[in-house]
Amino acid sequence: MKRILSIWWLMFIATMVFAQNYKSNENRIWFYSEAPLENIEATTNKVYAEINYETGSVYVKVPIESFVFDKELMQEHFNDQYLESWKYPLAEFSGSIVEYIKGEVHKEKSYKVKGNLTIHGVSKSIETDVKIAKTNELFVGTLITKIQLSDYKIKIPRMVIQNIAEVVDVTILLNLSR
Amino acid sequence: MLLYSSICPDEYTVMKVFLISIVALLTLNVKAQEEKKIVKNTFRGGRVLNGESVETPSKDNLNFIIVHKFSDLSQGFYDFFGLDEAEIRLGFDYGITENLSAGIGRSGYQKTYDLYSKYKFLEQEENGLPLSATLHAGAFFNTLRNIMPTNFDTFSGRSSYMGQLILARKMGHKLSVQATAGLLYEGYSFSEFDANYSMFSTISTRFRLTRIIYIAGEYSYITGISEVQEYPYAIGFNLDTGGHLFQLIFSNSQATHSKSMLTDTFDSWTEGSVYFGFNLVRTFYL
Repeated sequence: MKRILSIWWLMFIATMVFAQNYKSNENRIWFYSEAPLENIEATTNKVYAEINYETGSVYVKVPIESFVFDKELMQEHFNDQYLESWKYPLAEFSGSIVEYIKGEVHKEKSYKVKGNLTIHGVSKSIETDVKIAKTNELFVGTLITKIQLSDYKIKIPRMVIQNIAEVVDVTILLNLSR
Repeated sequence: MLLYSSICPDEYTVMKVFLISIVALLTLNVKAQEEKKIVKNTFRGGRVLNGESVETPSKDNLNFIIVHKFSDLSQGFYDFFGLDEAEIRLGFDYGITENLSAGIGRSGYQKTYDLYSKYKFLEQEENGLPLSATLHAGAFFNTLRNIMPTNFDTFSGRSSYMGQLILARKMGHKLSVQATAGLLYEGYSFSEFDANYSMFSTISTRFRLTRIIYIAGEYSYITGISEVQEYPYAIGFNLDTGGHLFQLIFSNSQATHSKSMLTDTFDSWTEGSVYFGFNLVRTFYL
């Protein structure tokens, strides 16, 4: 009995020591569309993100329904007509930091991150900039990118073309801990 | 190995940690199942076509509603297929809370002012409550001059009241169905409508064709109608874009409000009378 328990204890400790994954469920994404007739923006606090300190791999996952708009009708149309979130409930990014050297992230630095972004069921390979810094227990980062809606088959009806931009600015704020 | 045995805790500590982590895992799992998602967009706007829908505007949203019903298409080219004559209603619908709304409007038909309120007391949930339900109460006052017979030229003679229970269900992402049952009191009837009190019921449906276009249908039944009257029905299309909702309606009734839809419908499609009209609902965020 004592041997089984001590082996189990060892495994329990091991998962903590080898936890090189910095992650969090409460990162933020903000997107902004600027068009002649209307500016649209929405934010979400329910973004899951993970960075591996050893390898520099990055994973971000956001439920589309978590985006909050000022106008509820706009939020309904966003989910119902544009992103079709009942069919594609998540947007995901899976990739890694280019030329990652783990010792260098203790000071805030700009990197390029490359990987697959999947929105509305469509996957596209993207490369964008990220600024990250690591303290002892936290990994913080800001990722700013532009998304062309037509790349992900998000259709804008001709009637509202003056209200919705074709390219939307997206900002991801990461605050990860072990 | 010796070093390891010196740091290894005794059996009791290990058991305690083990049990605590199992309990923690279980409680986290249970918490995740508590939120139920409310089904949205069973119908859009306060009306299915001619009649009321189960929906109310969101809190602090003001809907401006224009109802424009042209005259009979069978009138032919000279009268431009009924487009020369039209009945119009202008109205507002305000969301006091997420579930309670109040509205006012005025129709050119019999110069009628109407007031109404809707209370959505049930909301359909995904994998939960199967129906949405709303109570609707409305009052209608005609303000015609020199037409009302002397006995009825009073406030109560000019008033009509309606109350109905509206039940609706959205099935999947494309189909919505609705049934209502209600009571109508009419102060004075210009048509040969027999009883002051009548019961009515409306069934309606909406089906999604594309991201923004829906097709809808509606049929009402009312007790006590005379030989010259018909049950009102309609089919139409909804275009749901940005802050505007366009509802194109083909009906046997030229009515712009639900009371006259029930009591003042005299035509039928089999006789060739088709009334084309539209509702335009614009949402303002206050």
